[in-house]
Amino acid sequence: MKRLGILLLTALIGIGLAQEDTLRVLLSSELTTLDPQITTDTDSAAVRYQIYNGLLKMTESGEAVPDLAESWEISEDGTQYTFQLRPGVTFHDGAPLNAQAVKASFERLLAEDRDTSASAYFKPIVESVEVVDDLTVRFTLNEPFAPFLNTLAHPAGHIVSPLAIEQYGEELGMHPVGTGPYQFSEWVRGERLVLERFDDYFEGPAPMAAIEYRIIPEAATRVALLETDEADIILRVTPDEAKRLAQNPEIKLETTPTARAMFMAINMTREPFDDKRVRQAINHAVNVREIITALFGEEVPQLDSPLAPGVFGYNPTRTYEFDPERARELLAEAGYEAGDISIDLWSPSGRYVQDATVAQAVAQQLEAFGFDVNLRLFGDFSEYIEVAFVEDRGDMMLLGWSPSTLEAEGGLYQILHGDHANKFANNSGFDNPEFNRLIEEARSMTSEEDRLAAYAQAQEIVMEEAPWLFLYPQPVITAMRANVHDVVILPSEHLVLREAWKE
Amino acid sequence: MYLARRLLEIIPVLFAVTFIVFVSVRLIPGDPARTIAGLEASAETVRAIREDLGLDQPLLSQYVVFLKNAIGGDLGESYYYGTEVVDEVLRRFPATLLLAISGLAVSVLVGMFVGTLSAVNKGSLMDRGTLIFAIGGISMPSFWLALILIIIFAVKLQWLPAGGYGTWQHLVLPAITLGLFGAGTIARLTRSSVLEVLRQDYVRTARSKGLPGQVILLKHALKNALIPVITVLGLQLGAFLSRAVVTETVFGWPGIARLTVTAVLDRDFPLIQGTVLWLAIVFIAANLLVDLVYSLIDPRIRYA
Repeated sequence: MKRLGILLLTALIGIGLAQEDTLRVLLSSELTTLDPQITTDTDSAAVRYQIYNGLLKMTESGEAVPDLAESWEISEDGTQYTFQLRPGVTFHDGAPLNAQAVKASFERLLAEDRDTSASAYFKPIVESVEVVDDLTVRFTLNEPFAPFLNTLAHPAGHIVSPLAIEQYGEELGMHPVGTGPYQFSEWVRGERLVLERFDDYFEGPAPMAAIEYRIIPEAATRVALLETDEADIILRVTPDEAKRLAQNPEIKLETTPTARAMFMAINMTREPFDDKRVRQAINHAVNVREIITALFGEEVPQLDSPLAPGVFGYNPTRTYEFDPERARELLAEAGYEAGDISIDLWSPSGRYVQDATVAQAVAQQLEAFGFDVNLRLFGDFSEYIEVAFVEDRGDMMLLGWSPSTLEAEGGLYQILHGDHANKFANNSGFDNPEFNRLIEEARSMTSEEDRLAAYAQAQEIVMEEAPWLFLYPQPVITAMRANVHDVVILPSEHLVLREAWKE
Repeated sequence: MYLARRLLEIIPVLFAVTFIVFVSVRLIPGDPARTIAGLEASAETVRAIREDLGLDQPLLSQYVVFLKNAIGGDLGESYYYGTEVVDEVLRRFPATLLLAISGLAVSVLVGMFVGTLSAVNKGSLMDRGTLIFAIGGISMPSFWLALILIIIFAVKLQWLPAGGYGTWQHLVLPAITLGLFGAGTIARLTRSSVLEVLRQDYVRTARSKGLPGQVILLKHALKNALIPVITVLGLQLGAFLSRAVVTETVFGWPGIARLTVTAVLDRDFPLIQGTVLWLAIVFIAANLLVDLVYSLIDPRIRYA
């Protein structure tokens, strides 16, 4: 009871921060953990970008570039990666960054009893990590895995202080220690998280004294807080709100197409969708360009590959243009008329940007074409994935898929390879032997050129076979005060504030 | 004696609450392991997480384990955050308590003030205005009211912050949002009980003795009008809590009501069980408190 009283009192008094030196960011959902080796949810991982570094980091164009590693060599057979570490780097707790520390961090991640979404990135591929000398560390893989560098650049590969591992163990999530430009200061769960500048950062001190993240679940409130200058940056603004905010000279908006391909998986295991011509007809029957323009504007492209631009290995092939005539021809060839076909169209509501609106627009257009469409919206994403992936599937399902390593492998293998057909997550039931072979070969190719060629061919096959209704790369709109600069939104949707500053 | 019996009655109620919650959260579709692992995770990862959480065990044995631990004060670890549920609940509760008390204060003060004013000026324009206020307060959705308050007082006038937590200014709009709902009901109740009391013989006696009207109103009428108000507060606690969910979400208030909603969306079973159990305890305690307060205000009410 006494403890409650004290808590109540501190709640009343409150704590203020000097605002000029603090970058104030509003998040929509609770942060899970600051331990990079547990979960990989976007918001928590985005916060961790300020605290930790990886051996490599991702650029805005989806390229893996040096971060803690200065250079690397890959063995002939593609199974050994030897990294030269940047000298003179220290963790926030004073521990030096060396090969030993990298080994300790990865050993924790690869530990046998660790089965987390973060460890899943490395466990299946990394056999061992060894110290060559103080600043040289070598990774040995089970078999050649070409996307390895991009995988290292994923936040799951962030390097954790060896001292902190010893001191905090599984409590590390509440006491994160890395080498990043900001160090952990305070976290009141559900309310705010504060990071402070780390003065000994290897690239020189960060521009801001502190970054404060606050959790405001309601979108309208986030917008109001930005307008009243109680926040500097808000994420995932809806197009409607963006239109209103665009009138305000104190606020600027940035629309970033991400690596998340939005599509509707067409259930190929059912008649008549097992016929390629029917799937192509569906693609020609919907005016995707019109939907995109109405909702997001001209700058968001229509998908011309199962991968979004910005993913390594992306190769533009072709788009299905709106052509009802062609659609009718294709249907006739397959022996159908639009009126014969009924489509159960499923969509989540609130998971992706404007998902329900897009699903409604698509349903409307398919109806106008003559199909008999039953639209079902799911308000709860947990329910959607359970019903959709386990129990039953509709005929068409709206999904967004982002290869988190920003690699063709991640965008094609899990969601289109025959091994995953009809199971999570290949919801179309797509199983094309030629495509499967290309993907399998590509992952162990040591020549980048060959690998890109294989992926390009694989993408052609997908476009031709049309297991999806191809939509667009999901755009995210970020709104910030006009005096905020150098905010980076990666194609992986992570908000990176390592260099952000405000006037 | 009475208190002891009431306290004993709580045990089976809590028992039933835990059981219903335990079973019902497992009936809603959605797999916690899948939610934790993320959409992109492989089936193997999901299976490993499920085993790790004990979700592969039979339901009954899961419940027995939960009960055994709960009796020892251990509500388990949140799936999503990996922290102790008890800590999480206690950390979040003060914010909700603060909001609830302030909301209640707004309800009672505004409601009784408006209600009394209306009773004293019965049949006037003000009286009719009160009726509109009362109906409005009850029927206005909190969500809508909250956004209107934000637009007027935060965005346009810039008097108060639009959301967040920390200073007393942050408390004003959420407390009004939560409080106005109860205020309407209380205003109407106060009006009718004040009118009722003003008709009583002892009031007439007091008046004929020459006591000033204000004294009669404050000492006699209002005190009697309190009884139904308290009853209503007790009855409305459930509605109050559900309004708190919306209020906390809109204003970004880090309370337990919002925590419960997030826990449900995340399929964080231990956290759902913990928050609901805690809210049940609060609910029961509040009702008990209401009953005890009765006897303090009205000595005629005695519990055997």
